[in-house]
Amino acid sequence: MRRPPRSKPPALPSELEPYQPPAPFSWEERAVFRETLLFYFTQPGAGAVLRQVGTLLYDMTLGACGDWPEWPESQTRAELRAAVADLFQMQGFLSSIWKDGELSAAPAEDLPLCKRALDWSRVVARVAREIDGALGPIPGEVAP
Amino acid sequence: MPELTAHSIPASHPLPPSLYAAPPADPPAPPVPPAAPPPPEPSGPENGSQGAAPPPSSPAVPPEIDSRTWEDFAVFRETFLMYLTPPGYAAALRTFGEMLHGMILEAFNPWPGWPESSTRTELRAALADLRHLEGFLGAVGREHVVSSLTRPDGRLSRFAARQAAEVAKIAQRIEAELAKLAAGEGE
Repeated sequence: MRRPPRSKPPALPSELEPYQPPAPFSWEERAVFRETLLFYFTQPGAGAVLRQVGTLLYDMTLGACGDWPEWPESQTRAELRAAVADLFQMQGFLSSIWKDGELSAAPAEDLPLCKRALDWSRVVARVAREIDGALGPIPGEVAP
Repeated sequence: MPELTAHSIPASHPLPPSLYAAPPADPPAPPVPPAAPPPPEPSGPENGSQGAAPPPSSPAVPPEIDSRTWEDFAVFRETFLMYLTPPGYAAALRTFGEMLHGMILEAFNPWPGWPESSTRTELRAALADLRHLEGFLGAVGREHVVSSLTRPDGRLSRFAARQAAEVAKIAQRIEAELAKLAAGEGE
């Protein structure tokens, strides 16, 4: 599914609270939903509610996961593998910002940002590849 | 039987005040690591479209994400889904996520606009997610201090701490760039 063309007005009535990236909470307080999803929820308070739902879900998951199947490798390795997946997802998101600039879907004053987004996506991908390289394949899996 | 209408855009009711409460200051501690790794098994469809089909009892592991398909993983962080190891659990949430993301893209136009351009808003959201990853990798990077790890995992933990610093650098660049633009426009 591709994102639709941008049609959001750039301005917002001052009495509304638009999407704001969260204050520097600990990472565990936004452990579930990506902020690259929550920014769509511009209704006042909606993002905060979803973050709170995420905290609840995360808490319940940690409470329940002790009875669930174990990872095929150590927790440290499983965590890093999950981080690799999120880094590659972030690479894709940043690349899409660059693509928007290439497709003239972004305002002219933002085109430099769109170009930088490609550089940032490459750095994110490099970090992901470095971690992935340090991990190697999942035990029992044949490397491609 | 209720009367059906063509559209069902939710009304903008104010949310209950209790739901506005800030997240708790003391987040839950990470779970205890598994006691002993089980016999190795391959990954599979729990993780997306990649990989060979595993036995039904195989625990789910994070997917290999092709960055071109980032929208298939747009809702839930994989650093959260990794805990959902029963076969099918994480896959179910990814499917729900695809549905939710699709619905949002259909529905968000009538919602209030952003205070700045979509490019900048998207970059601020990306910045927040990078800060999350920095925090997550930083926590993995402290595991060799706060937990008893095997020697290889201890090395990986220290490596994670260095990678957290790399992610922080990217976030700082984005932050600086956005601040520079905002300052330039404020003059």
